[in-house]
Amino acid sequence: MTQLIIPLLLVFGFLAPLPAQALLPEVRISNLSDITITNWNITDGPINASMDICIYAKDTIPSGTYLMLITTNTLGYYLRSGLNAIPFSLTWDDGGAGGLGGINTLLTTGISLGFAHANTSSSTCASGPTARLKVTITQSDMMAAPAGTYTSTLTFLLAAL
Amino acid sequence: MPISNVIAAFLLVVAALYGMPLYAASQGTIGLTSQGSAQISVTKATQARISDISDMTLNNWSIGDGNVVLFSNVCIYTSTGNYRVTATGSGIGGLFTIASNSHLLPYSVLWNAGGPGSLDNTGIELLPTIQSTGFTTGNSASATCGGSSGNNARVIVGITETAMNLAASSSTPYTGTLTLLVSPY
Repeated sequence: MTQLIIPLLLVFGFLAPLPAQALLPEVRISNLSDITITNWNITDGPINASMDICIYAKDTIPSGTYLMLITTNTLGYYLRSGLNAIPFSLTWDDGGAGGLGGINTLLTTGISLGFAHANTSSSTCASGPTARLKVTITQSDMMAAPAGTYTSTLTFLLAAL
Repeated sequence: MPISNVIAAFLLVVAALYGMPLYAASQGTIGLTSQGSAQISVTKATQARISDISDMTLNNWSIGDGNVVLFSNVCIYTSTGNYRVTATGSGIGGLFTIASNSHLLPYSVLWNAGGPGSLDNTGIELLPTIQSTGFTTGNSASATCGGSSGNNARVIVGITETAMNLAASSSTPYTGTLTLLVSPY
């Protein structure tokens, strides 16, 4: 009889509600926007564009931490137009609300990186965006590219640490 | 409903869809993970630039000196690598003439698109204001051709000895302006 009771207790214990203290973390990425350069010409120099992003991460440990992975549909960090491609680089500024404009971390395709300054209370970042993505294309790479419209779709995957 | 109304409604929907952005960023939802997306789009227009062109000057021609040949090596950048060139002189109707007061001196213009290191004084004759045939040796990687050693075309101005002999002597130089228009394709 003892052998029967113990497995039952284990099953019931697993199904019981979690204690209030053991909250699952939750995250959200928002405020994403498209970046469109409509008519680059040879006197424009390098392309430096950016978007400010809201990263919400609640109940992560340590507080405000998160993992970010950015992939593309163009086989790496390249804009493509048919068979032609223009490389671009991405950097991530994790300055937090009111603290953007500082350190930029270079991102590498296929590799997720950890950051620490998400908004922990507002899923819409009521106090302002917490991160900034910068897109850079060198002038020489623009010069070398044939005329055309080059695109890439970035997919942002945010995960709790 | 009349068929014309149906067609009109359909056209309105198509027009509305046509006017919409091709892509719009998507926002993430709350969860253990969250995913969003955004598009980067860069359009590079078809462009061209001619540079490193210099004035062509002959200081003192004397009987017996023969034909005059002057040239300038230039850099042609086009975002396609291909281009056509149109030369326009400062004579009436864009004719290739230089002038000293009321005296005119005709000249011809050749275009050599041999590419870096392969330029000489032969080439295709350009006609005033007429766009040339296509050339494929434009530099598509550098607006400056990487320096003068990378110049990839030569404009050659020629004045025949006969024309020089017939030209009136003048204390003021014969001058004119040659305008070169490069059009990528």
